[in-house]
Amino acid sequence: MFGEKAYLLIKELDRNRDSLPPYNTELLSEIHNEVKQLVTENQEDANVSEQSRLVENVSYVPTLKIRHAAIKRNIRCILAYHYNRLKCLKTIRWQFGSILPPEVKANLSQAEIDFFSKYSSSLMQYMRGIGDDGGVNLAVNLKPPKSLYIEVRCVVDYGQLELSDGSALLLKKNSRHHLPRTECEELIRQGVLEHVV
Amino acid sequence: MYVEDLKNEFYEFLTGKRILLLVHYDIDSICALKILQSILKHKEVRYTLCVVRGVEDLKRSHQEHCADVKYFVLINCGGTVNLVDVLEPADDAVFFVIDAHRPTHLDNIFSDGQVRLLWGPNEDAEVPEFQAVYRDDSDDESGGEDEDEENEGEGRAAKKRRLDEEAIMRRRERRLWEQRRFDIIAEYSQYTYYAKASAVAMYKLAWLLNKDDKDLLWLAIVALTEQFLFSKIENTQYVLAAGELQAHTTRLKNRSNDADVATSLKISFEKDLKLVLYRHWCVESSLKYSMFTACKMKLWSHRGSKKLYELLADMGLPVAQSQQSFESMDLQLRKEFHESLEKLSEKYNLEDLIFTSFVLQFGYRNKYCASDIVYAMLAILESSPRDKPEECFNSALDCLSRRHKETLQKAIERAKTITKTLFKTVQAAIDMKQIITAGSFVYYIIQEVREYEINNNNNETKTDFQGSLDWYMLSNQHILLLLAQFILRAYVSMSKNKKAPDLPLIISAPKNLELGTCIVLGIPPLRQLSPKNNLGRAFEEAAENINYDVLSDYFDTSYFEIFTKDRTRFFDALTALFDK
Repeated sequence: MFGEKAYLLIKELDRNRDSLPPYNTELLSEIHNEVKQLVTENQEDANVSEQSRLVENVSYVPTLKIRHAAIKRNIRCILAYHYNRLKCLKTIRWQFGSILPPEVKANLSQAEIDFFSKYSSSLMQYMRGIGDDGGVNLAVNLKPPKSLYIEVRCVVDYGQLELSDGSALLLKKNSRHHLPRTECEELIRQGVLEHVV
Repeated sequence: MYVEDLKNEFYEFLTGKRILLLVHYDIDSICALKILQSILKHKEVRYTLCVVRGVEDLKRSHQEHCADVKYFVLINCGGTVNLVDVLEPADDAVFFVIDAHRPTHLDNIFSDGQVRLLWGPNEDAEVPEFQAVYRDDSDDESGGEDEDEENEGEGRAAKKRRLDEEAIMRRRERRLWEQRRFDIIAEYSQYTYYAKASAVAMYKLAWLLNKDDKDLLWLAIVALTEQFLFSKIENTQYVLAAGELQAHTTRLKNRSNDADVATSLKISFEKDLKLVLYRHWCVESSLKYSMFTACKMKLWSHRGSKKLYELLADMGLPVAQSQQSFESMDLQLRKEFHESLEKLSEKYNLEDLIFTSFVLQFGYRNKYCASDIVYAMLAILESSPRDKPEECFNSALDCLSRRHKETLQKAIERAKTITKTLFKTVQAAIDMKQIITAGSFVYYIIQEVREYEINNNNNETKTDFQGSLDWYMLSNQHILLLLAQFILRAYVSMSKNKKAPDLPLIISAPKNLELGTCIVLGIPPLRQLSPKNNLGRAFEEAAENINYDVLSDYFDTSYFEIFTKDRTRFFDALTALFDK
């Protein structure tokens, strides 16, 4: 039946909602062939219809219409497939940064890899332009933080921490501090500080 | 220097600055800290928190941070010591002090801006005049120089005689002035007492800034109840302060929000009983181990426990019910519990069992009265032998936030053990007659673990563990205070001595086994209603008399620390002092 393979393609994408399955080259080429076949069949029948219009009035128009619908369906599915993969890729860029982990890279086609690098550089160029003094890395907080300052508790004995205004802060185990978010984020990620709600 | 306009000169002043918060290790300061934290969140203030247990800790924390931090906020510590002398800060360092301990050190009051006290002069009683205590020393010398310039014409001998006389007069006057100054300062600082709780003052600031809410009000309530339960303030002061907080409670009541029980937070002002943790315990235990009932009905004796059962029978409470936890008693009995006790209070000599307090309710199951929370926090802060003070501090902060219910539950369980231990210690003390009268005061010494080891060689491990748990708990300030009050009341109720209510109590507990020190606390006699305590002064004088190097580190001068081997000498000196 027409459009079955396209349906399989979409189902595969649906099964892996947030992650990228490997680029399904064979299925795509099968659909590609199906579309080509449909197009050629359509062209023949269109020619026959055109020629016979003048002589016998044989009309293959309904068949043409069905095949056309099938062709359009296949193309729509292929486009949806590519579009959703790119959307997923963009989310990955925002979450993980501009270096792709190798397991993700293995699942991409060459065109997608090219798209990713161009998207990444475009984003970097934009981020460098906004904000003063070198740009703002928008990918740090995907949701806007509720407050500029957070209260943290030190979990291990870290020693002296140099703040951005030059002053030093002694981080002993179990000490509590109230600091700007920007200073603490790195340390929270390392596990030295713990955010106290 | 007094800072009365807290909003501009304290709150707005600290915007954007880097400060160090030095917090004393007690319940009032933890509540005050939480309130201050929530209002400082709105200003971009970078702060670091340090927990301070005594003057040494204060010095050390200051030393560690004085290179980077210029503004210090001291909560419940430092008001009674001369900050500039003790800490030797840089000239541009500023100290903001909010302290409930009194009397405030005179140097802090008359400081010219380096030490700023966050209350008004009306809260410090009987502060002497500036002239009486400080004197410009340069007056003397400049007087001498003027004389020299003027009298060039006079004869040398005559001038010298005149100068000599004047010098002698000035010296005499100076000596008299110093004598008077010494007397004034001695009289000013002889009594130690507590003023308004720091948390209540912080709550007022939050109210001024319109940033108050029920959470902060509850913290202020807990701090006030702590002062009342440990008899740090008089009854009348408590009633006045509770009245003010009640006004806030009614103001913050929100009828529409409160209707949704699952998410609302309700604070109500109710009459409450002076029974420890009775809502979370069984009635019989609560009646038996609470200080108030135990002392009035002498529940450590055999006759006393019979009286207890009589009371329960009179109330209509079957013994089986009274031994179950309060929540699982019959609904009818639970509702009538308060009234039945009130009706029988006269017969069993239990007047003053009722006092007015606040109850917090959130969600369907959580109903806590303020004294419950006070005991729970006391258990966290002072009865964990293994944890370091900072960890206990953090647990206490967790316990106050309503998210950590298990912390609170565990703490309440530990508070029950503490109450039982106190009762058993008092019972042992009375049975073995360990409360000794020394003429003009009563004393009780808690023995150390070593003594147990000598006596019971067979059960070494058993008594070891029990002894160590007891004495560890009792070496902390507030538990020791509770024990002292319990013992004094028990002694007075058992004693046939007519002078018993007039005798102060001195109690001593081992503090640090490796260093061999013990902590000594004195509390005023029962008949004295005001909690003003002049035993700190007595300790200092006794120590001077025996030429003892003072080890005391506590901000509250009624606590003292001495070496155990010098204890007997110290007590002898005290006896001599009291006899005078």
